[in-house]
Amino acid sequence: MLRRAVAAVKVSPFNTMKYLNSSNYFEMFGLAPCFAIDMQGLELSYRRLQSELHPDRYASKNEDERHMALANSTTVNDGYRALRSSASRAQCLISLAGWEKSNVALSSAFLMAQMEWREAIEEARASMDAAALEALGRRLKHRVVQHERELASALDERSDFDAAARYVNEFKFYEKLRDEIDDALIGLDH
Amino acid sequence: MAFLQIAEPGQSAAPHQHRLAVGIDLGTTHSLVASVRSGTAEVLSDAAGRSLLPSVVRYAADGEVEVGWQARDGAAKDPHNTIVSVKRFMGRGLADIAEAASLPYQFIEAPGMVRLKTVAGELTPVEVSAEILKVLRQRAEESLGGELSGAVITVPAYFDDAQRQATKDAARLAGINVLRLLNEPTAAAIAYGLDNASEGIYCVYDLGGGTFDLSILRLTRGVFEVLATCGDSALGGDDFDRCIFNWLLDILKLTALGPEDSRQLLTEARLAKERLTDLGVTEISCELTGGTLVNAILSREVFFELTQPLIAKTFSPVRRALRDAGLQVEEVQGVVLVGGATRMLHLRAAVGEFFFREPLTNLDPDKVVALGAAIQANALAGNHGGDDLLLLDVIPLSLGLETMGGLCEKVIPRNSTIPCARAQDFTTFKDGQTAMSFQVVQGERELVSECRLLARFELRGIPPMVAGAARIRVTFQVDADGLLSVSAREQTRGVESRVTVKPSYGLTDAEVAGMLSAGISNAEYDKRMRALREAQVEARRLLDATETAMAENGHELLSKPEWDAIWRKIYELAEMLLLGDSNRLDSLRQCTEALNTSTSIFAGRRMDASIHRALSGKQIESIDL
Repeated sequence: MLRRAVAAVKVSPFNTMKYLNSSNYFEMFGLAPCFAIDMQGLELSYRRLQSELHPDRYASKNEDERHMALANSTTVNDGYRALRSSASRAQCLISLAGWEKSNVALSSAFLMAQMEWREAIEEARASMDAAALEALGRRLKHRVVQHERELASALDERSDFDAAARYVNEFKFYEKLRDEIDDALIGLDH
Repeated sequence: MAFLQIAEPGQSAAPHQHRLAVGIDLGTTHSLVASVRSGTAEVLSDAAGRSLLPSVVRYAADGEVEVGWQARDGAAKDPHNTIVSVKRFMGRGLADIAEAASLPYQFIEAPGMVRLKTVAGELTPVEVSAEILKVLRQRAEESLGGELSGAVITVPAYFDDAQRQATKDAARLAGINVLRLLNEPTAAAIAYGLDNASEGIYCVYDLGGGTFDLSILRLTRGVFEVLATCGDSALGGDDFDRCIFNWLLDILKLTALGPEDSRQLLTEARLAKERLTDLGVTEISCELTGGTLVNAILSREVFFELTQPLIAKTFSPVRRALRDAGLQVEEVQGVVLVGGATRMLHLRAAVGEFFFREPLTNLDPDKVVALGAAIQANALAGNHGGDDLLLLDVIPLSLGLETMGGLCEKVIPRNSTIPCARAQDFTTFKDGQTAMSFQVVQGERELVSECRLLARFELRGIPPMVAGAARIRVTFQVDADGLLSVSAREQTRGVESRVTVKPSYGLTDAEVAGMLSAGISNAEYDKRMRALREAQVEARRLLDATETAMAENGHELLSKPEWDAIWRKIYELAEMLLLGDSNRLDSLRQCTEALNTSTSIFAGRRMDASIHRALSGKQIESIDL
């Protein structure tokens, strides 16, 4: 599967280069559309695509080809970024399924937990406690792993896109928390 | 050229031509040029066999410009007109230059980028840098024996858009075709990685004269993937000199030094720093202009203590880069030291302690960046041996837009792999609003005022609608040089107005063009080169088109003598291209014309054949005329 997809966009120097079709990132990287993807396969496929399409390969070509290389390489980077992170990969699957947004409201329990997270981070920041921040970071990482498992089950086993959309929404909060912990740690550095 | 409309571009008939491409390390204290010759990268030396060129430019009243060693030796005598470490001013405003007050220059505040007042008039840092680049270009052309087809120029990874753009303009001014701007730590990684056939996660710790960069890369079979980069574009080896300088002022109770004395004392400080790499104790002694004698003993211990805070300062970007890459320090397989300042023993010890491993230093830290750039230049020029090298680099700082209340909305986060593009939608906030203005900023802070303003532009012609109904999509595109362009477009009602900006930093394209034409000889040279390049492109294009057409239906449309005649012309032109001599512009044009003429009958027949094909099998009335 992987080999075929890469071959499909392989650019032969004897043909005019084509713009990459970016409607389905999974297809672009030769992966089956599911949440639990083979990360190594993604990385391998990514490097192979960039080896063919990167602007550096077209540095001495004419302007049209250079422009196309810029567009294609941009698309590949975009796809790689989208599939590498759990939340955006899940979002890709939800969009591919044609699932329309309905009710992705967050539970009050989730929101309460968020408040607690935030207070804990704020407290550690105020008392300049790097160790506490590191510990929060580890706890958050653990939580995210659990969350990914739930997301995988919703998407790959149950095709429950409602639940998946809610998990994706929750993911954004976790990402935000991670940024806050990182920022706080950086702040302590200075 | 009748072929262009009907032929697919294919490959040239010209046997592969080795293009002269170099890598240039345009450093704060030193600059170098390197090239790949018979498969190995080597630094090119001057006539005296020196590979380093001090990044020092001295302007004389008679219009003479000195660059390099001579200029550096004259720095103390003529500090106002001898520009040292100009890289620190590239793309910077006066407010960005913290140490401006203690420097011997007369800065002039100008929008976007400072200017320097010298006997040769007001100069931008771009012009000063161009003088250094011109010398390097000349050195390269003399030792390689031909015109350069292009150069890869290195910049600190942590350079922002304005600093990168300024560097590119300086190259343009020096008549250099920039193949790519390459981040210095990435260049070093290439030189190291290829040399040692390394695989895995590597850190490049690059402390140059004026900048600090830290990049984390993953090396996998010729692919160099930058995972994160961080740094400080105002921290470098110069600051260690300054520490000694301040210490001298302090212990000797020296006050209010003139520019000559400041320059001299800074030079003494630098020399003392360098001596302390080999010696435990060193003596600093010199005589200042008023006859004051300076005499001091500096020990390693005191020097280490004085500068420890500077070293500590480098580790905060290191931690941040690791965090951004999602890595623990234990996962790093090797640390590469780059930049002359990494020769300091206490720095090496501190880096070793931080990473729990001895840093790699088997390549000369002064040369490794230029060598890596040369390897990349060779690959970009399409020369043999470059096909298995691929760089995937990142932008160092987030790019965003100002939103309501002076807040910064990030559009492309830092450490995104380039090239990349990201779009964001905005809307109007007033009924009937037909214009919208945007401020493009770069930086990590929440407030726009604390980020660097890159560009300001306005989108007009938005159809009047109620507030919030318009949808304006702003797209950021960052190319492989790490340079940004922004476009905005209104998307509802099918009305499109579009604006694309290249961020500016005070020098407009017109100003750069003006500087270009100021040096007549340079302009002449440029014109000749441009004409030659155009003729070469034209010739290649014709060769491609003819060859493809011949392969496609030459046999069927041409007689044997016709076929042979065209091939003869193809070979003649291909051979001419191979010579690539700038004096042969006329003959190249003649040869191109000759091929063009010889194919005119063939082109006519192909046109007929393709019309025939298009028409066959169709009813006459279905053809829309």
